[in-house]
Parts: sequence; C-alpha cells; structure tokens
Amino acid sequence: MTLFDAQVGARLRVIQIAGGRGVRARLFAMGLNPGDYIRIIQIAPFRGTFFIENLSNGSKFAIGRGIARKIIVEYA
Amino acid sequence: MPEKKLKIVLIGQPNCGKSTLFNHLVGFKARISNLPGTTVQIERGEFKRGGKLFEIIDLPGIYSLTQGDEAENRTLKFLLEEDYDLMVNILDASMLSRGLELTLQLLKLGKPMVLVLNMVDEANRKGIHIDVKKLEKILNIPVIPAIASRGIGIKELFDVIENSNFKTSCFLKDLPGNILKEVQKIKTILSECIAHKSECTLFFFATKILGGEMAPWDVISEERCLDRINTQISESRRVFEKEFSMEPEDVIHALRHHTAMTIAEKVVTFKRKKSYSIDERIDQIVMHPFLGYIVMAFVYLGLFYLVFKIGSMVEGYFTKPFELLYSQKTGLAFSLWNSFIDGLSGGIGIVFPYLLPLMFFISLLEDIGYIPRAAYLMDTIMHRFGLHGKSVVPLLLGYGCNVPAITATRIIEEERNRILTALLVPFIPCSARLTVLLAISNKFLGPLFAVGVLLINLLVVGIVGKLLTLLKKEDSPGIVLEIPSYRTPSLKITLSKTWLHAKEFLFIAWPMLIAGSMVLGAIQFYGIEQIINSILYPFTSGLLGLPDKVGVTLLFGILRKELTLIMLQTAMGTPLSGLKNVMSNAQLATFVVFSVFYIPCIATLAAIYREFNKKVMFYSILLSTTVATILALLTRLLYSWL
Ligand SMILES: Nc1nc2c(ncn2[C@@H]2O[C@H](COP(=O)(O)OP(=O)(O)O)[C@@H](O)[C@H]2O)c(=O)[nH]1
Ligand SMILES: [Mg+2]
Repeated sequence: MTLFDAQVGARLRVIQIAGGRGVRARLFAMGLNPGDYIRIIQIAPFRGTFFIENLSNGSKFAIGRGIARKIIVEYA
Repeated sequence: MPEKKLKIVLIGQPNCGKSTLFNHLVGFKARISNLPGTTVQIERGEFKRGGKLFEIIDLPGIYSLTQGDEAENRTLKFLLEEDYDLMVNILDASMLSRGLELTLQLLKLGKPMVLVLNMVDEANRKGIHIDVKKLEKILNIPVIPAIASRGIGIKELFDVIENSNFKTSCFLKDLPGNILKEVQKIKTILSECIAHKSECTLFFFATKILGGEMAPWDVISEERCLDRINTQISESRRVFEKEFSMEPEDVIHALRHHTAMTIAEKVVTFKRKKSYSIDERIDQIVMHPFLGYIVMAFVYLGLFYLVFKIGSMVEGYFTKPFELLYSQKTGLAFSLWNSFIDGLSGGIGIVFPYLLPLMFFISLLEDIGYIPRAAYLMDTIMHRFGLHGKSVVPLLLGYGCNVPAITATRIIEEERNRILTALLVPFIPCSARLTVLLAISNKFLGPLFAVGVLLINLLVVGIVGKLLTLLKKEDSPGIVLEIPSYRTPSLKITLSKTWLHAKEFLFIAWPMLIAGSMVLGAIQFYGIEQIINSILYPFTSGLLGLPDKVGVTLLFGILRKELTLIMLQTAMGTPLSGLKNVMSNAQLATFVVFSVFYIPCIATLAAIYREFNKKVMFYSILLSTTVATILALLTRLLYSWL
C-alpha cells in the first residue's frame, strides 16, 4: 500500500520510494529511507497535505499527497 | 601588501544552526530563523583572531550534495569551483545519522574540514549522547560539540581555526571493494583528463558521474576523454546491474546511508528519557485540520492588532513635538525646512512606531518555527491554486520585507513555480506598506478597514495565483518540507534581527524619506509638481477620484512605500492629523488600497530582475498596477454606496 492509503497514527515501515529520481533523491537526502519507521501525524482537510514523522530520528515533514502516493509502506 | 585572508565556509543541512554560528563568529549580522532555507543568499563576514584575518562564508543549507533546488545547486557549485581553506561542517546532533550522510559526502571533496556537532542540548533532550572522541577517530577530523544558540563551543571552534593546522581527510570507507573498483576505473580516466584536482576530488567526481548525478561534460571538455569516459560508464553500469540489480545512484546512496547509520550507532549511547513531547501537544492544535486554521487567523490578526495598538499608543509622543517646528513663513528656505520636518517626523514618528514592533513580532514568529507550519496548513489551499505550500514560505516572509522574500523563492525547485511565486510576493504588503495601512486606518478609517484590506489581500493573492497558474498550466509534484521542532526564541537573536532592520531604516530609508520629502518641497516651490500631477490627472482624479495633488506622491512611493504617506503630508500641505480636512474617507481609503497594491518598491523590482530577468520584472509592474487600479476603483465604488 502507499502512504496515501495508510491510517493516521499507525506505525509504518517504508518499503520503497517509487517515482522519479528527483523525488527519490530529495526524500533520501532529507532522511526518509527504505527501512525507516514512520507515522502519519495529521492530514490536512480534504485529503490534503500529509504531516508525518520519521520515528527513527524524530524529524517531521509536510508531504504533498502526490508524493504520499509514491511512498510504499506496510503496517509494522 | 594586503594581508592574506584565510577563507572558511560554513556548510550544513537546513536549520542546523549555521547562521547562528556565523553570527557568533562575526557579530550578529545574518538572518536566523527557524525555518528550512532561510539562508538562500551567500553571506560573508570577516573577523580577526590572533593577528590573522579570516573571511567566513555562510552557504545556504543543503541536505546533500546532489542537485536539487536553486539554493542547493548554488552551494554545490560554490564548493566545487571556489577557492577556500577550511570547511566547517555543522551538524544537528539530534539527527546525527542524517547529518553524517552529508558529512560523508563533504569528506570526499578533499578539503580541510572541521565538524561542529551543534544542538547538543536538543540531542540530550531526546536522550542521545555522542562520544565525540570516537567520532573524531572514525572520521579523522576535529569534532567540536556546541550549542550555538547559547554560544557554547564557539571558543573551541575559534581555537581550531586559529591554530590552522587544518587536516584533510578523504573518506572512502563507505564504498565496498567491488564498487570502489569501478569508481577507480573512472577516476583513472579523469586524472588523465583533469589537471589541478586532488585525488579525493577526482574520486568524488567519479562517484557522481557513475551515479548519474553529474554529467562527464560538466568536468571535462576534451572529445577524446569524453568518449573514453562514456564507454567506461556503460561498462560499469552493466557491472552494477549484474551485481546489485539496482541503479548505481541508489546503490551509492544506500551504502552511504548504511555507513552513516553504522557510525551513528557506534558513537551514540541512547538514554531513554520519559517521552517529552510538548511539541506534539502543541501541534495537535496548531496543525489540526480545523483548529489549525483558526489559530493561524488569530496569530496573524493578533500580530497586526498588537502592532496597531502599540503604534497608535506611542505615535503621538513622537509626532507632537515636531509639529511645533513647522514654519509659517513663505519662501524656498522655509518650504524646504517644512518638508525636511515632514521627512524627519514622518520617519521617526509614523514609520518607526509601527515598523519596529512589526519587525519584532515577525522575527519572533520566524524563530519559534511557526512559518513552516503555516506553510503546511496553506499547502492544501495553495494546491487548489496550482501552487504548493513551499510558495507560502516566501509569501509569509514578504510581510517583513519583499526583498528577502523574492530571494527565498530559491527554495522552490520548479522554475515555473518560482516565477509565479515571485509575481505573487509583491501582493503581500511588506512592513512599509503595512505601516501606511495601519497608520491611516488608525487615524481615520478604523481597525476594521485594516482587517478588511488584509483579508481581501489574501483573496487577491489567491485569485491572481489561480489566474497565473491557468496561464501556465503544469503539474507540480508537491511539497516536501521539513517541519522543525519548536524553539524558544532567544531575545538576543530576535532583538538583533529587529535592530538589523531598524538600522537599515535609520541609515538608508530615513535619509531617503527626508531627501524625497525635500525634493518634493522644492518641486512644489517651483510649481513643477503641477506638471507631473496634471499628466497623472486623468488617472488619479479622473479614474480614482483622488485629489490631483497625490499624483506626485504615488510616483515617489515607488522609491520607498513609506514615502507615499510622508509625502502625502507635504503634498497636501498639512500634518498627518489634518489630512481629514483635505481628503474624504473615500479618498483616503482609495489612496491606501492603491498604495498597498501598486508597483512594488525599487528594491523589490531590482530583486526580481536579479533573480529572474527584465521580462518577469515588467510582468510584475504590469500585474501589480492593473490589480491596484481595479481594487482602488472597487474601493471608490464601495464608499460611494456606503
Ligand atoms: N536548541 C538549540 N537551538 C539552536 C542551536 N543553534 C541554533 N538553534 C536554533 O535553531 C534555529 C535555526 O538556526 P539557524 O542558525 O537559522 O539555522 P540555519 O538554517 O542552519 O542557518 C534557530 O531558531 C536557532 O535559534 C542549538 O545549539 N540548540
Ligand atoms: Mg541560515
């Protein structure tokens, strides 16, 4: 499943980041890597922007929903 | 003979405290903010230490040495092409592993380097304790623990810099044998084709070329060399495919990530404290899908209201004394004297009481870490307008001053979005225009008028944004923005930032206001202003219904927006308080609305020209004047109905 379909608050594991080189390189560099545990803290109204936390170092990000569709996760 | 300066560059990931450190080194000069991407301009400073002169350069924060947004590209270009003696890599200790990924890349540039482990306090708060000695040994460079916001670790950094027995370390341990072999092959070709680069730098190039992050023609030009390299690259890529079944850049990244994690694991002892998450609780409200927007409205309206109150409270004390100085006599000298007093009192009495508090509260907001959160909340809305939340960061900075806001558009990756955002920035009223708005609302039109203009302003940004994106349709991949943790703002930093603006006002804007006012005085004395006013008459009076005398003030306002207010006094021949005798409320309102929206000041135009080109600048002039005229007309109509 993708991050877009995951439940708010659940502990998730990043399996893979699909999508172009640009998006992938950006997320990698900001410290979102396959294998990391993450969590959706909040989603803005109308299925909008995702506010997520990388549980492995506590960093937090705002991620557009288009990008959330490219992050493949599983419940962990 | 000029002294030889030692050049030091500061480099680190966004929001790691680089600018704070820079300020400690050169004495508070750079902008510090708790939002990623504040330093988008390269700042330079100098200091003397132990008889030696040092130049220090604060580079924009970058997450990694891969190509990304404009700011990152510039930093990378600087690091590869400029000459410098020492790299000071600053790393947020509370995110050690992520920071180390950049450090590992920097260690391949083959330059002397020092690592500053900043935010040790944050790390400890999270229960992370780092063995500095061990880290020094693994990386083979000096490591200095620091808390830049409290000035801790600065002395130790000075000591290392001063002794200047800089150490170069070339870290290649993150590449295992079979990959190293391929990199080596490319490097060998490079070393035959490029002169004057260290072994280590060549390795760096070779890795990037293999990873497809850098094109061979970026570093070599000779045809024959290019052919050899290209053949080698295809060969190496085949090897990669066979051994890893992954793209080379993914392999290289994964290995670096793994190495950074392993190093972090080796040097960190983790003492779990009871979970401490004030942030979390605040964010439950501030980032809430519904309450968040209410908080945002309160924050911004509260801010403007406070400034409004403070300004009106102190204004009288400042302007009253000046009113006694006006001369009643006639003649050029007296006319000049009176306009001199206009400029003097306008600057200190009207602008200062609003500008200073405004700057203070806006820097406070930036330091706390609210702006990226507002950007998150706005992203959903902005998305409907075809822009994403990253555009909100420059827009929100625009309330302080449009010039840094234009520069801040560099954090946006896509050129199209950058231009669209830059065209929207001038619609955000900067502190100068807010001052005009607040001062006139305060005296004549009431607070509701100010609130109304600010709300309509947002609406205008939305509508213009939508129209612009319709003209230039394109899908934006969406926002990826780090949301930093909240920080208690340091009074020293906030005050020094406010002082920086105050200084700019006192030494640049104020003299300009006085000079502008006096020029108008002289022009008026000789009756030249009537010529300008009569040229503008069809527009000012005919279309907008303003007194024809305001023509010249609007023209001067392009220099500095505060000038419109101050020159209004000179032009109408009355101190501010007397304006209501010569202008109706409808005229004042129309005037203010037009002032807020029409052509951004010269400095902003110059910034747009510098960041983009003449065309974008002319678009901006055209767009803002059109919008200002429409809104001013609507204001005129509205008042005639009321
Ligand atoms: N807790 C803590 N905060 C810091 C430290 N150093 C800087 N800060 C804060 O971190 C934020 C980002 O700092 P800044 O210097 O603008 O970072 P830059 O983006 O790397 O230039 C500001 O709010 C600083 O006050 C530190 O050592 N500890
Ligand atoms: Mg900075």
